[in-house]
Amino acid sequence: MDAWRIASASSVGTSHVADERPCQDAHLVDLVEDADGNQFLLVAVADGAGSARLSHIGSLAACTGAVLALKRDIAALTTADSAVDAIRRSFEAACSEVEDAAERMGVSSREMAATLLLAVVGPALSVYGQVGDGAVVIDNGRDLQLVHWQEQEALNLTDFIVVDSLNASLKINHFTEPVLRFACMTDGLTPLALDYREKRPHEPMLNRLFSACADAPDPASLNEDLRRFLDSAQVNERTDDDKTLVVAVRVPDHDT
Amino acid sequence: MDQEPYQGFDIPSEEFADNPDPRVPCVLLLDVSYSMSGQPIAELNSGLQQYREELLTDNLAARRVEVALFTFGGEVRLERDFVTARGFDPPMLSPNGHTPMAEAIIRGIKHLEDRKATYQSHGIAYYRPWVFLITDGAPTDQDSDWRLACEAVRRGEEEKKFTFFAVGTKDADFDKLREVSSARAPLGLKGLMFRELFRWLSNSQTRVSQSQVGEHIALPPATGEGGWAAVPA
Repeated sequence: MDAWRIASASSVGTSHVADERPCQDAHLVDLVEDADGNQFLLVAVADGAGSARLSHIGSLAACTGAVLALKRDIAALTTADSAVDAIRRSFEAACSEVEDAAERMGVSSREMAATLLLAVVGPALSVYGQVGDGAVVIDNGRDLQLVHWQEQEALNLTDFIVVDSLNASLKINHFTEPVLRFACMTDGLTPLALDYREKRPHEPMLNRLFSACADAPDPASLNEDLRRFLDSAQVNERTDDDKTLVVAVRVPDHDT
Repeated sequence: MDQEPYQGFDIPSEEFADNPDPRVPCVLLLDVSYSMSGQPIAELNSGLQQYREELLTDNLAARRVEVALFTFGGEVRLERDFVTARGFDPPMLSPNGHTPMAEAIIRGIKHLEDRKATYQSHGIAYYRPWVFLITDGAPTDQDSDWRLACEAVRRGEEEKKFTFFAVGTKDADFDKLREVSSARAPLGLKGLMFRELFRWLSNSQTRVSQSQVGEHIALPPATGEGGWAAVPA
């Protein structure tokens, strides 16, 4: 059985540094097994609204609420219908987590507005939910696929997780074949990793990311290596936004 | 044989997607009717020069802000089509005729929609556009055309297709400006502070061009001490 090798990092954008804003991105990654020994990769990535004062707290609350909900719902993750429902419930849980955090701090949850991308990658089935921008790319062994192209009226207009508008804003997709390689990112990285004209993954960039993850001689330093890359001059020349990237590749078990 | 050393995540930027910079489109609708004669038009011309220079001082704004300039005075003219600051050669405007403000608004909005379609077909992302109206008078269009212009602005704001700003000098008809700019109160220009106005516009668009997700960015203050704008009575 193959195992996941995972690299993940969030890094503050240069414009946030200039404005003395914190990194408003957050991410959370977990590996869980159900009662039958099926393994699931759970990934949450959130981008706090630039205009919302406490969105760095909102993005973390959203990731936490969603992943905890998925872990409670683990029995639902093996069939497509029930897994889609579980994704929906986990977005609702993310919204309540944000609302709770806002209430504890005595502010409106608008101050904590965030986007949210969620992925559940099982042995055969994978399910993805998305509110707002950012992107998930998967490799099914034939080619790289962008899970959902987020159309938007303008760059500074996107959807944030709000429970009342989930029906309209939440996009759920599922695939019933194994995923070999996986990447999930906030909009700070999409200009580098997606071809906007073709609305497709930009393969040279993503293939290099996947190889870097798979070939690392010391998997223990992967997160740090990835973070250094996200902070590097060649990335910051192309994007001044916060950037988050989660890369996961399946490698033979003894290699993790 | 030597194996290539592990490069980790040192991915060369040649392997990044080559997407063009996202754009911040801005349509300027400038009143050059006869009443602008003399010092007002001279200050407006100097303000436009200032605008270009200020945009050029910021790398991102210089690449991302795109300006199209319509004038209305006697007739509506597209003086400069969408271009980034480097290519923006401010015209020397001269006053002429009456004030077809409604026609300018309608044409400006239409021109903006065409530009957005061009962006979309070329895979260029863009920020919420700005439509910026500056006048010293009152529209001389027919009432029905004025109502069409008001409706076009109201709908555009509601559908978040653009942000509309109306600025009037001291003798402008602020009742009319309030009709057309219903989502955002019109501002009065203090004296002839066109240069300060355009410096503010450039600073605001520089902020937009650096901004992230989120509907509202905090614009630099326009009113108050040192600001170019006053809230009209």
